[in-house]
Amino acid sequence: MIQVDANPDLLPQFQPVRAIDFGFQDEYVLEVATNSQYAIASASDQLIRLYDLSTLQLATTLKSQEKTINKIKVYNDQYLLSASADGTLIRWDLRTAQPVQTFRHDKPITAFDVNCNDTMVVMGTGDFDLYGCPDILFYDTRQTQLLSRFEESHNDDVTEIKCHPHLPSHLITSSADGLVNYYDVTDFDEQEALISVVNAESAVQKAGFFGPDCEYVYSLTGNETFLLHTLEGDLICNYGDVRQLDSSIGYAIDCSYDMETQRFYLITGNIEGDVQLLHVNVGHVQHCQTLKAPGGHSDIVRAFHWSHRTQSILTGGEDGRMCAWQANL
Amino acid sequence: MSKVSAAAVRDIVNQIVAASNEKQRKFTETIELQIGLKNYDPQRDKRFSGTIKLPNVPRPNLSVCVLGDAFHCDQAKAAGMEFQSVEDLKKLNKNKKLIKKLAKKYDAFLASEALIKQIPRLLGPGLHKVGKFPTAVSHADPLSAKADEIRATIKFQLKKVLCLGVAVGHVKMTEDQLTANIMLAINFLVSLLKKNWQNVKSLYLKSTMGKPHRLF
Repeated sequence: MIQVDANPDLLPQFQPVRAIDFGFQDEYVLEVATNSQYAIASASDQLIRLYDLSTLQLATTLKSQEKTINKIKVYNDQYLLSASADGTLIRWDLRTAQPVQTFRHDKPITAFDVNCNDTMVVMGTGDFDLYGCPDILFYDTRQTQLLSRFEESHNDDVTEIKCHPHLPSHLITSSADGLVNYYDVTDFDEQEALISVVNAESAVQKAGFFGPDCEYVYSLTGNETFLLHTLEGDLICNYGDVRQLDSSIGYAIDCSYDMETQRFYLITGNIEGDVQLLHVNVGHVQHCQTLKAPGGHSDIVRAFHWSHRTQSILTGGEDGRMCAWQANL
Repeated sequence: MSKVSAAAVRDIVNQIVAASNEKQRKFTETIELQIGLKNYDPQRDKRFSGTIKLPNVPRPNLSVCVLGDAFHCDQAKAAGMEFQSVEDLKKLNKNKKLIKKLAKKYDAFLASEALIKQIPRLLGPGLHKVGKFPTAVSHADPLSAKADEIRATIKFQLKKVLCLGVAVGHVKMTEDQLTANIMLAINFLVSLLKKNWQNVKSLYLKSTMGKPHRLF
């Protein structure tokens, strides 16, 4: 049984700073990210908007990809990478707002990451109904050249790719097939690269490393279940359906790990646009705070970014809004 | 509040089973729940994909093989279940053809907790491509119950066309068993949809060879 209680003093109070309404009620904000200069939102209109972080005014708009942008990530403060269903992964230089590198493939790109020393980009594909088993592609970033391709590792769309924060040839991939695979691709041999596998037993929507040495993995599934494993594949805790943890929880958004305090959080939401910040321990979940305010969200929140160092949070939702929240340090 | 009553489900289930019994067939027909969705955009709405565990086994013929440690191999043997030991798997020598043969031979795999961590080293991604990576089983779980759990777990996922088909039983099950499975499946799937019943356009039940019966 998972113990659930409240701990309202664990975190400083987050207040809404500003809500940015795209004015298109029909668009969804799907992904949010930040660097030192901008708050960045990717919406269902295939536009990536950069907002000045201090004024939250629109600075510029990036447009290049023809179909849904599935993922965006900021790399090294300078670059933004965006992956699209049109088969491209574009690296944008945020200082000039120009694309500086494009990786092209013939299938929709549903997940990607760049390794810790920017020597390799890993991409995962989707649309299983049309293309069958997905590809995991490894590209050399210096030459924009394909290094290798894995074709047997998943039986459904790739939903996440996360490269290890310190080991350049280690990564995890998660899929709608229910698995989270952990690889060492030093030799790019698909038969030998698999170190361990987590079977979450339901389509994995989100997965990632956490822990002081990145020794743990979390998985969030399409059944709204939440599981923690060691990187070797041992189950640490199965929290079951997150909706059972509290009646205010409608679904899981993602997880967030604070390196400095070594605290691990589960972020959840509901149909009203509320976002819950839950502190997670083994067998124990503590509700710390709910982000809910006039000028907040009125529909489900899909995108979430928490900068622990500056205690600022960005959220994006199906109401077409991006909200910035700030707590006193 | 559910928009579908157990009484309505029972009525249709009886019609389907009666229609099926009228014709002699060489196989037992599966009963499928078909959900038509509306107000859902697969390009941008949250992916709708997961698994349901039904209270009564809808696919009793699913073959399960145990990849077992000594304890589980003994248990499997006693229960008349198919199994492979660590030694058996090592003998495959990571030969792709042999692993593929094993993967094709069974519908699903169970693996002892102690063994499951060795699977990537023993078999590489051999079971991944066919979507048959094993489910872990501990010494405390009775093997045949765990195998039945797998037989009772159905994957659901939305395809391009806004229609979802889920196997919920077969025509040899009782009215009670079928009704329980169908009610659970409907309520669970609807609970995962953003707008719940507002996302449901239609519900049909049909047997493999039978005509669709509208439920909602």
